[in-house]
Amino acid sequence: MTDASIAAAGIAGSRARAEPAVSAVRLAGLAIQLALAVGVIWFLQVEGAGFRRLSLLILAGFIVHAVLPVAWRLAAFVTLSLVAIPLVLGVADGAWLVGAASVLAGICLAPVPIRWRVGLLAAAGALLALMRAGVLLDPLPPIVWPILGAMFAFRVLVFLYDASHATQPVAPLKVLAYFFLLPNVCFPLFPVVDFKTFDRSYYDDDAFAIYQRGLSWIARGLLHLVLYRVVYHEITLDVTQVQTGGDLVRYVFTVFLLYLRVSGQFHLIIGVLLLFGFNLPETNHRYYLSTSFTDLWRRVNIYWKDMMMKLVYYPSFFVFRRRWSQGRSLTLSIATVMAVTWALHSYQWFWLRGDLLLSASDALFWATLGVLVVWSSGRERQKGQAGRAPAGARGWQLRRGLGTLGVYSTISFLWSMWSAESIGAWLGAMGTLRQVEVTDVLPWLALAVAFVGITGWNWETAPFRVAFLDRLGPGLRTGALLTLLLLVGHPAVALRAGGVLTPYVVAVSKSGLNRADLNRQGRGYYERLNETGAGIGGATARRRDPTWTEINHTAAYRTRDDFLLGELVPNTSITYKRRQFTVNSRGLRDREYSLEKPAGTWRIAMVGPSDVMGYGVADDESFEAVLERRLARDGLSRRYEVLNFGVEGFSLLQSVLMAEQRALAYAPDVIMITVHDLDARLLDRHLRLAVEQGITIPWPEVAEIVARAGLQPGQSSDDMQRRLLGREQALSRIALGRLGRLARERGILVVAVGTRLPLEQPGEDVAGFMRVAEEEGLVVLDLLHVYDGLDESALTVTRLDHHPTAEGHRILAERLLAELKARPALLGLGPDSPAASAPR
Amino acid sequence: MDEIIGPVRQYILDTVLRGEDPSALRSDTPLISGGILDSLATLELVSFLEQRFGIQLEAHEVDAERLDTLSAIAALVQGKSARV
Repeated sequence: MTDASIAAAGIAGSRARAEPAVSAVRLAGLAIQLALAVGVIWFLQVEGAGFRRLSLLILAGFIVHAVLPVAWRLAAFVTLSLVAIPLVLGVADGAWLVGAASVLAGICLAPVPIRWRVGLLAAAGALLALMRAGVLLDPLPPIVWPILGAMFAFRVLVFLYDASHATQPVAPLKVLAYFFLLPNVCFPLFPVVDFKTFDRSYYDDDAFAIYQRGLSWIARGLLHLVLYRVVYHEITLDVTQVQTGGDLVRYVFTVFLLYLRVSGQFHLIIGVLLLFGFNLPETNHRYYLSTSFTDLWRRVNIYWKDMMMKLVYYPSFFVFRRRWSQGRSLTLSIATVMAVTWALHSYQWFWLRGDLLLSASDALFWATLGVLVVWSSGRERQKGQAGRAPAGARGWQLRRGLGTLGVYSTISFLWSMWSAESIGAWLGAMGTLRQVEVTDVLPWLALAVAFVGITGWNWETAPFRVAFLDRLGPGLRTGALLTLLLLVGHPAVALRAGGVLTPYVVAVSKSGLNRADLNRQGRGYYERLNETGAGIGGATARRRDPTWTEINHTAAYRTRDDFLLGELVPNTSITYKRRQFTVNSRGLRDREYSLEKPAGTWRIAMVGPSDVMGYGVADDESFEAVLERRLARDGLSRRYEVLNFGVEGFSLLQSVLMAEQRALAYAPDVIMITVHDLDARLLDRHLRLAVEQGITIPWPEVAEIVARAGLQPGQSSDDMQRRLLGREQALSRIALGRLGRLARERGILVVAVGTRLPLEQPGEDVAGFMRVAEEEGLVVLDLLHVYDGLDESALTVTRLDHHPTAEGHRILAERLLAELKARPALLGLGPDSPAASAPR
Repeated sequence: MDEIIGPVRQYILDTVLRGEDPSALRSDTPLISGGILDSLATLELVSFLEQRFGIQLEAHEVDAERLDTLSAIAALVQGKSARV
């Protein structure tokens, strides 16, 4: 390459290697590995629909990019990054992002002194912050904010620092590439890439070696994400699920494993950048093997640590040492780094989520971690530099194993507090410590011994290198790992796994939230930041934004001061979840019906929560409305009316109360109530709210359960939820038994419809509720498999919000109709029909 | 350059790589990116360089570009000494 072409390619200042002729065979080998990775991403639905689309662009883009002349590659990368934005976000939202980001990148590149650029960016940042906080009119679509924040919140600080100390001008194309990093559009939580490293490392090694390393990291990232699913769905617990001492031990010692999601994403992101020649260092390094708190700090998020060293640690040390000794200056610098890290996590939270993170658990977490890191670094200084050499002593050492266990346990303990909704909820869970029995602890002690046994080896010197794997070479190893991931995610493997392995293998293919998080949509810091990107790249209305509010925050809902807690407001018409939402004059989301039943009409009253109400679909698209139309169209010998008494968030107790207070007045022939896994949490929520609001519970059996659980106003919601856990079946028996008795007294048929949301496999709760319904004499219709065999991801209103789309409701209505036709009595047809003997 | 590389190499062998094979530390061995110098060791090396060679480093000069190898360190010290 000539100097001119090197400069044009943005490699000026890099130690660019001479480019060998592109080998078709080597490139084909890399393309096959990348195709396997794309297969895993699609097959296991890794990181959402947007990332799946992006992965195809990466595959095609990589092959084209690799055969281009070096001088064209940087421009090709920037073009690809710009194309990715509308591909993932859509044209309109994509245009907003490109526009806003171009303004900020333009200021960075402006031909004015650096202090002017700093001033302009500070002004632009202040303006954007006021918009993000809602103080100024915010024209940006909600989905754009977290991505824009991820692109600039930290990278602009690093860029300005490097630009202010640069000795030679930087290629403008390199600056654009730095801000418009290809995978960023799918990941709001993004490693803070260092600008100087980004610039310096561009093609600083053999291109194929860089590409291969990228593919290895992508495979490793996918492995982390798959392991995360197993941990998330089958191993760890939420604080609200801690009931016994054994649960507590499990919660405390497994919650830190959730960080696999972040390290998986980071490996994936940096792996993709390596595919385009940016030979960046690794982002995380065997952080579960940290032997001290400073060691953990150096391994767990290397890019963050590097940014802190550059922007805070070294500058503050150079200031402190003017006044204090070297030792004291080092201590103060580390303490400053930890304090700034805490503040910057809140800063990141603000840009990604739009509100401030001010919680006692956050403050306590960072303060404790800061003290531990300062203490640990002091010990390392005392030991001297040789004592902290990364490789350390070779072979096995008990001290190393115990140290690793100590660091892991302490961090996981702190993480459990940080991840809880509040310190109160965490302390409530800690209260179960009194119930710890030896049998609870023994399996964990065995695991701890195994952990010490494994981590006692020095893994930096690879004690167990497998010669066979070494001989395979990195390409074959990566291909083998990706093939294994594809196989493990295959349903046939899950079916054959058998025994205790089955749930773990099934968890590999679960792309949604686990049960506890579905109930409250997310837990700890990183999970909630990842939530901001959950809707990226979905189809229509597939995004979470401030307008994606719940019904009780709209004009169509009002609260009540009795056990029903709330109701729909008659004669309201609003746009809800971007769909028309109309409430009739009697407070039903339905057309108008006379109170008196028309002669010859068979009335079905439906009660239940959001699915019955028609959450996320238009007035005429709920399965209740579709069912009514289908019954009319099918030319059955009667006239049918299906009335919708559903209200979002209603528990079984509320739905039964609704049937008593409202539906019976319409003289229904059938009362239909839907039951789901979610009802367990809705029961908890209902009773929590009733207790918090001091509402009298009218049913003595329910009041007794609440008293036995020890629910008191002022307890945190997580604490109350934990106290109620396991009492849901008893509550459902009270509700369904009461409904059955009321209906029988009036000759009304009662049907319990067991159903589920798309993408959510039925669990033990719904099976229990259906069993209770049957024991209480209700007709039970099993619609739990209504979506089996369909592309369920296309049937949910958003990736996180699994309520069915209009098509999902239509499918549900068709299946319900078929079930009803199979039982003519439920449609008032046939000799067994109550109506045949006693027309109403 | 040798008059700079020699003492720095000895300093690193004495403090960070005690007991290691001295021949493994070449003038192009990556010190920071290779994990030999962590952030504490890097600052201690900075203090050594300032005292030994009578130079003054600035915060932004403490990075892998300038301190990653013995050769880079020598170039930095030489450049600084020339300006003193």
